[in-house]
Amino acid sequence: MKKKLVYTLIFCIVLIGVDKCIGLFLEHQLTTLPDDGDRLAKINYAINKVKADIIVVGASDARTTINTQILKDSFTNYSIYNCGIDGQPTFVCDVVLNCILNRTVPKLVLWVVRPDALKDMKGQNDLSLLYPFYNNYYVKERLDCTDESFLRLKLLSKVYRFNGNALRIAKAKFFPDPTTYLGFTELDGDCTNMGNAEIEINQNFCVNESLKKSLMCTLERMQQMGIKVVFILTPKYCRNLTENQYVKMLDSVRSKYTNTYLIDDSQIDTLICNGKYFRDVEHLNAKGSQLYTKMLVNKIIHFMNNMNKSSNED
Amino acid sequence: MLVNSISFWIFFVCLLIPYWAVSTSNTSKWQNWLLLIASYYFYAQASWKMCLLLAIATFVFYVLGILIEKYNKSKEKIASWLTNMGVCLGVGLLFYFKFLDFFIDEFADLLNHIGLQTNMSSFGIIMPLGISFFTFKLISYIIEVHRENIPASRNVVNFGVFVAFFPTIMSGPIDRPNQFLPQLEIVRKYTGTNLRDGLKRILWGMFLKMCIADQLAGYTDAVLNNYIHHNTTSILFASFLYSFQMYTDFCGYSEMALGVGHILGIKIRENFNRPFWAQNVAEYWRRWHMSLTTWLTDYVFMPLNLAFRNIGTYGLYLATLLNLIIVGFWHGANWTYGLFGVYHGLLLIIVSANDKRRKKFEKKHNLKKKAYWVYGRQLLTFILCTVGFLIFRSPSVGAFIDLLSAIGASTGGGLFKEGMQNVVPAIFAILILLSKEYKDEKKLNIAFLHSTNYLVSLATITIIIFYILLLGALEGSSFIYFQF
Repeated sequence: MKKKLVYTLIFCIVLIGVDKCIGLFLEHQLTTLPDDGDRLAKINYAINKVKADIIVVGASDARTTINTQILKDSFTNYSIYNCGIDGQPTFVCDVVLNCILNRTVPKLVLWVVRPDALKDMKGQNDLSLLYPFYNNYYVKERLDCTDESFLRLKLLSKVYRFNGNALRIAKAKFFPDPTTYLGFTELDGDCTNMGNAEIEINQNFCVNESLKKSLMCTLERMQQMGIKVVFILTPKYCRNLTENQYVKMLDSVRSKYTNTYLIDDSQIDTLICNGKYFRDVEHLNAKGSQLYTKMLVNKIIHFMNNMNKSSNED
Repeated sequence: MLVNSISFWIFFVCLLIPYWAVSTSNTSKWQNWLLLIASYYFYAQASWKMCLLLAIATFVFYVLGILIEKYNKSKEKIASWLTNMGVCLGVGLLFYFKFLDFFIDEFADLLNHIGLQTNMSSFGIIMPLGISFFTFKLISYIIEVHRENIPASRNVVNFGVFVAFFPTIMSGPIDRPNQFLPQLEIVRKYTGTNLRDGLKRILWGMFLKMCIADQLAGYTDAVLNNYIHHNTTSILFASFLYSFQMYTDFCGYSEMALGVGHILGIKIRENFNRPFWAQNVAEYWRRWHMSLTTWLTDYVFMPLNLAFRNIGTYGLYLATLLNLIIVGFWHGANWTYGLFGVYHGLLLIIVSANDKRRKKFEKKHNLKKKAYWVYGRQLLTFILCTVGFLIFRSPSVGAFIDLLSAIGASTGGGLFKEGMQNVVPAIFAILILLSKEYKDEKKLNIAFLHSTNYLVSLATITIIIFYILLLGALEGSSFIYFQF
């Protein structure tokens, strides 16, 4: 009996040891990948360091579509930081934003959302960007809001966090992709030969309730902190054939908070199907982003003036 | 509550502690009570309303068993009548919950088709989970009592455990009363061997389910649900993968159920015996879902064969065909299941009709042990079974024909690559599975997971655990056979 107990103990120690070793190895490999390493470094900076008056959050649309220099030139009295990170789903933005709010109180948050921002998380992207930050108490707390049951128990394993990514890491190591992440630089190329394109965004309309709940918590928090929030739907190349129910839902969520505003430019006439301003169907190119950010600035100023006016009246 | 979810394992550990604590008593009564409560709790997690149906069905068959035994010797006719009534009741339950809506819809369609407009509509009956499994258990119980192979159970708790035993109620294996009930009479003490072997089987089952079946599901669904948009290569590739998905999904569940039973000290029937190593379809059916096929052989095929003995070989063929059609329709109310049965029935008839000729041919050319002959036959059987799985998977017979046409209409382009990141680790896992099965098939004296060498066994367990953690699908999706 004693022998068996000793064996079991040894087995558990081996298991934990191997788990830690493989986990650390994978974490190291992930952070040294040209693309993921860059993105992880930016999330790390956003979670632990960022301090600015205007913070832009979102995925690649935030990074490439919002021209930070134009924003800086327009809001000269404010410091600005663009946290846009490629492939970052709404939930990850939400977690990162909450971590920022733990340290600092920005005046304005520009939250660039996708047209299907409230869709199921798995449908948008994976949560792999948060793997190395699972030990962060606040990240863990926000992850508890997700549908995943017993997450804390599962997180006891370090390897668990990298499920499905070991092959991705191996592929990136052995067959590297020459196109690496481009920091905050604008995108080249255009879609002039693409012609008209139409889509139906609401196929299988399905709102992720835990994501919605988490978003509402964050908006409530920002309202209490007196932070103004602008949700931005950046221009898309394709013409959406139906009314976007996700946008409708997002609008109904944000309308509960007085400090929040929604700018839906996803179907803006000047840019839609205008290939010379787009790099691909999702992203504006350098020319497009400059044009669009100038238009956006006016809308933001208008919103801020209205907000200031109403707060003065109060 | 899914067997591959953490909530199940918390539930199981909560059961095990008192289960082993009461094993010090001289009677198995308390252990059986615990199993009964746990089984009903488990079933209630899926549908508490259906627990009532399960309890009523159990009680009715329990009483029937006692009555049949009572009249077996004195009034044989009444005993036979009661047995027939029990069988009809069991089949009736299955028919009501699984087929009534289907036949109403089909009949209404037929009437509309011939121009007789009707407002007939189905009742929207909700099928209780595991009904195909527990009704078969109930039917086999009364038949065995009537045949005097087992005494009628006088303990309603034990009988309740037999019917509702939680590891097997949702997806089998279908236990037989003569093997299961006697095990409940004795106290099941904790033994290290039971725990260790049980855990190993569970781990292997999880490996099959999470590293192969769930990983392949996304790809096979993407291709086979949208076959119009895919080329021949992708459809064929997805079809072969689907065979492995189906096998590992079901076999994975069976392994986990067997492991859970093992830990509880209860031996459950084996359900699979390396079916993809079969050299013909007849052998395949002796290796695939064995608890169902042996059940049907005993209670359907044998009586049918006996009934048709007057027409000689044709009687055998007819019995085979009918038996396989029942196998097909047992899975559900859809013509595709019927077609699946007919397809396999015809294959079995062909195999049976050519058996003597094949043996003669093999003997003449000394082929029996030639590797190319054996592997060729295994490959052919696998391909034929894959076609069967495609029928099984199709939503309608028309959809299956369309799928075949899509395979035939070869279009250019390479393999569909979306979702390959899940397929690649699954293919590695399939290679591990096939290596293990090869070792077992050839009876090679090598052991890894079940090695007597502690270090080898420990290393294998560690590798499997990390394979699951790194390359398995951890979301805990449902099992294909839960729907039956």
